[in-house]
Amino acid sequence: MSEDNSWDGAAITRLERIGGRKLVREMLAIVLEYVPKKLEAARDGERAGDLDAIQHAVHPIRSSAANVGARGVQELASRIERLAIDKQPGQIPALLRELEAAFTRIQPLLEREMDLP
Amino acid sequence: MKRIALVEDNPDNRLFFRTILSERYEVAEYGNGEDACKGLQEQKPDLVLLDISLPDMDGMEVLRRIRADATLKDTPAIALTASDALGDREKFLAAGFADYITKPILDETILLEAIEHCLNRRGA
Repeated sequence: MSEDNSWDGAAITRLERIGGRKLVREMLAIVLEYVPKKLEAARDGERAGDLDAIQHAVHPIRSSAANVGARGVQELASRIERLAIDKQPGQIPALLRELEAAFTRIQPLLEREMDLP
Repeated sequence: MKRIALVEDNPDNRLFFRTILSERYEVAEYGNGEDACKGLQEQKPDLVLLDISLPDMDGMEVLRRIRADATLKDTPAIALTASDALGDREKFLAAGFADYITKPILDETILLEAIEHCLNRRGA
């Protein structure tokens, strides 16, 4: 497990307890495919100035990130979702870039975890 | 085996819930509110696990439609939400949910106990 404090290894331990390595691998595979699609949807929402679209894109990112312990991604998605709900778009573009960067950083860790026997 | 309808758009959440539930219950999954409203009429589940934040219609609207359907109106529904804001529980119970579970599920026994409680109450 990584020493990165944006990563909560307890989430993986919980998944393993419930469904073994099979569940860990399947959950990570879904998240690694699903989150980039939602990031793209958030970018589309940003380009269109559509706060509802941004909110609907980042909400599942928050949920998926929480499921696999990607705490930094979860927290950023949560902040963006709150700003979108509150109709405060000012900080959203910068936070979306941060969110993308956070996911890019955690992605190899998730892939490594997925490949563990 | 009791039938549970899981209405949840997030695919990893669906997998997670399916893993916890499928040994104990017959689980039908729906990825959005529209599919759920159609499917529930055929499935006639014993209980609905209903995500509040869905892409097409929210869980509150799905619940309104369930309550408006004569064949489904008494089916208990548990709200699934990532929000744990103050007053959420009261809001969901007032809307007609039998219970309220926050995601991510940190302890699956809480979910299973809530389900059993609702099923037993319905059967009483």
